[in-house]
Amino acid sequence: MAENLLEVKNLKKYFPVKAGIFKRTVAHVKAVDDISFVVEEGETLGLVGESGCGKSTTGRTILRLLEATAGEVIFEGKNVMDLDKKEMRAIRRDMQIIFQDPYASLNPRMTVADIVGEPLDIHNLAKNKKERNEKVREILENVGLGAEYMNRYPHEFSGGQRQRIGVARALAVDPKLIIADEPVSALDVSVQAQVVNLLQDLQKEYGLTYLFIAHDLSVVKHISDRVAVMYLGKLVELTDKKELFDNPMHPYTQSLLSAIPEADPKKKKDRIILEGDVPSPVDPPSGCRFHPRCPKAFEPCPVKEPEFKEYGDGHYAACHLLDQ
Amino acid sequence: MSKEALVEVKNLKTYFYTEEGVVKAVDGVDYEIYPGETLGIVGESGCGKSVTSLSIMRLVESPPGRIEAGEINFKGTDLTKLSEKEMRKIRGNDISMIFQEPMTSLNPVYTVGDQIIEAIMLHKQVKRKEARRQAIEMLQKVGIPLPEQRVDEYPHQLSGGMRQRVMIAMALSCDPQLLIADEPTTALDVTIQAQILELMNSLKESYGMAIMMITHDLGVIAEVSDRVAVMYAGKVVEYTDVDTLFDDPKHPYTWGLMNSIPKLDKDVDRLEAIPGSVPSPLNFPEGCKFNTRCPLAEGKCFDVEPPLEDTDGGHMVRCWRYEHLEEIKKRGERIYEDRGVQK
Amino acid sequence: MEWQEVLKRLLQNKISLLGILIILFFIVVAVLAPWIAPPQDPDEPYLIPRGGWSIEPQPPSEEHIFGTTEGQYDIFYGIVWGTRTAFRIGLVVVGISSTLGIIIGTVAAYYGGLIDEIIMRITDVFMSIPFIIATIVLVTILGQGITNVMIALITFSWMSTARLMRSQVLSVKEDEFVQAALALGANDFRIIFRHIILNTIFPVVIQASMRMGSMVITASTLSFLGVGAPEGYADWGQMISFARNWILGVEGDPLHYWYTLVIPGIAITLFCLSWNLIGDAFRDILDPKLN
Repeated sequence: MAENLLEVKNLKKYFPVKAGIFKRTVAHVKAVDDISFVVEEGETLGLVGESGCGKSTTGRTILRLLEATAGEVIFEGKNVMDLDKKEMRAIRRDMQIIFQDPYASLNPRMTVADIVGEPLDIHNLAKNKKERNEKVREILENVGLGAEYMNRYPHEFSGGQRQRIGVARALAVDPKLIIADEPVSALDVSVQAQVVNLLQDLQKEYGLTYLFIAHDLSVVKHISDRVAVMYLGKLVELTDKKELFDNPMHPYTQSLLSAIPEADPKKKKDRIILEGDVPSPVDPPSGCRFHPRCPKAFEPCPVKEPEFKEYGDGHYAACHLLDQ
Repeated sequence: MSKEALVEVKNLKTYFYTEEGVVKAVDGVDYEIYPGETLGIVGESGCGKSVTSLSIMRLVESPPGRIEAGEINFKGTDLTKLSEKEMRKIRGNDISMIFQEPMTSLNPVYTVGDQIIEAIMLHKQVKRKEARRQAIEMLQKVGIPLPEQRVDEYPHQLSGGMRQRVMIAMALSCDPQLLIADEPTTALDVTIQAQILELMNSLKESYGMAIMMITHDLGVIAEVSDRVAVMYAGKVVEYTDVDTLFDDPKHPYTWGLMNSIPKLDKDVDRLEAIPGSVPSPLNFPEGCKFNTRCPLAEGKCFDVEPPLEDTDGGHMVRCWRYEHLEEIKKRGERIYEDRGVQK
Repeated sequence: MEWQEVLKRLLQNKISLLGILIILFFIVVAVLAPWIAPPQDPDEPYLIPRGGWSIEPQPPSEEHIFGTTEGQYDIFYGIVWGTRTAFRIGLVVVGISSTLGIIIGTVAAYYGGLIDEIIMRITDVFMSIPFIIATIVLVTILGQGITNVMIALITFSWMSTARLMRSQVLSVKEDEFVQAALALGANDFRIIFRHIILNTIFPVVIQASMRMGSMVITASTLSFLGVGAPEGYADWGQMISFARNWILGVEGDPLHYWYTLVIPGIAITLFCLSWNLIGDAFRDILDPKLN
């Protein structure tokens, strides 16, 4: 088995809800509430869930773009949460992020050469301007953009090209782990495939490890080796992708899979249509957080929180049904 | 289908006159919608799919937009010729519309009840009390729990899925014959999307209305449509019934769209990605508008725009080389090969 | 949008072009002042020469082409050298107070929390004091003079820029490109200067351009109220204050002394108008909704 590149242990991220003139904390949004998983070197771990489930917060907390409330993030044996500012800056070379919105994630007042060259400047990876430009050119070519684009500004590019620039910026520091936060969901359908293919090519070429965050199960299935499913700040299931899609254990995963509209009119699936909406993470349901919507909920669900544990060969899930 | 069409769009052209030039958002589009059916319009951003629907509603902002040419025949009346006053009678009454973002389509300072009641009173000669009763009934029909309570709540008190249900209730409150749904589930989560699609399908049956479903998502199209028009760069490029389209896509663009999305039940190592990106509407290419991205394009494709042609039994395709695509498909080959590198 | 593009559009826009032309005219007047209106004493060019000691203003004549004010100060000389005073007040006050506002607003928004809270409460205190009264009191304490007027104006005019900057930075700070820079390991200095300020500065520039005019008006007001420039100093506000006793004219001819009020009035109005025209044009050009 491959080494673990990243280990997330009991990670929690609560956002305070403040109210009144004195800004007293009246409640917490439990965006990420005690999750643990590992990412092996060279693999792609997909992290899926609906909006507000905490998947993006997880990604940003791992990178310490947000400070965790509790828990450990161990990257190559070092607990990232313990690093000081200087050590943190150094380790950022190894962990990068690609954002969802190719419009908001590029500084509109910087040229492509400056955007992709910035990581080189920050980490002193180029001796002089010439070497920097040379490197930028090389990186741009690797992501499928010609050097003629170097002196242009982001607004001159289409969404797909911008996303390539974002990928180039992340690649510039030669990272080991890339957290891809919904990297294709803002793109046109025909362009999504380009970026997905690019990410796969780069993974092969540079031996990258991905944490691929998305709400689109079919894309996650295509690109991932293993998949973790999140619901309301908790992991509900994690396993090999084939196992997950062939044999989903958690009722939430089952309904999520059945809810995806498939591009095949003849396949009228037996839908499990979930009732109601995702509850608020400020005041999550007691016991199992999924129980108010779960078609299979029974006595222990509203009272006792199910444990996230292994049910045979790397298949983790959190559901009382499985203990019966 | 030999039935009389409910809506017949003929050679519709809607242009926008901007500082940078003329944007031909919709450039000669034809389609029909029959009573009780769902016509899916699928395409990517900027293909003109939303502008066609706004043209039907005559809601294209003018200036800069203008319906340049063409007819929109709704039950025999050409909507493009109606006055604003006559059009107001049709909007919300015969033709209703729901949008992608239910939060911005509802007025935040009124209760949802007020808004539905207003819609009902605007088009039906009923008293407020009766309108309120009907509003509650509508909320019930769209599956909102405790409608007597919800009717007095404000939009921000409802979740995204509930708001979209309210929008649907409002749209259906006057028994329209056509419901235009512009990306109604794009802003929603999959589990909520499934609820809304199911609701729309069941309402369509009980109300017998026609639906024009505009989306970029082929999955949604497959789910709800009877017939489909695929749009690219302001034109319909393929137009046929839903089963034929998914069985046998004849336009290289449709083929590309279908193969660029990963399937849940089929594993491929590599997706077939259509290269490049949608051309700017200010700068469409000569000839076939897809020629900048089409691997089959040659000669004629760069000079002359192909017509929307009936290939067999009503399967309309706008392509000079669809027969060539057939051969490739028969050989089981991919047509889009990319190196992740753009031209 | 880039600076070159903004400049190009400013020059294409008729309204802003008019504003720019008026300002250019004032710049030319200010630069060429020693030649247009040669000072009697080259060491004290801002002292308006007097054509006599009579109280009654004199109408335009060959010797005094714009006439004279009460006390026989030459209006033409005062207008020409007053242009320099106007620019000096405008540029120094707006320049320094905007810089202060930018720094204060950025620090408050970027660091947030307690720092933000303290800075913004101080800003509130400053904003709650009526502007004119505050400046009058401060000038009275510091003593009359153009420098003290500028100090007083700066002290009480940085708040609007600080607030504007703070709200701008608050929104840009959450943008993903700032997050991306953080993720790359960029330090605060780089993030603030390369990523945040560059993307927040335009509204402040618009506001500064609008404030150029209003600061000159306020300085004139102070002079009019007698706490601004010392008597005889070339300053438009003071020239209007000289007109105060003659505004009503003589019996049967209310416009008898029109030149004492109208000429400096036109100068101030044109000066403010031009900056406002440019500011308006800036806003139109930079408004993303109009692009």
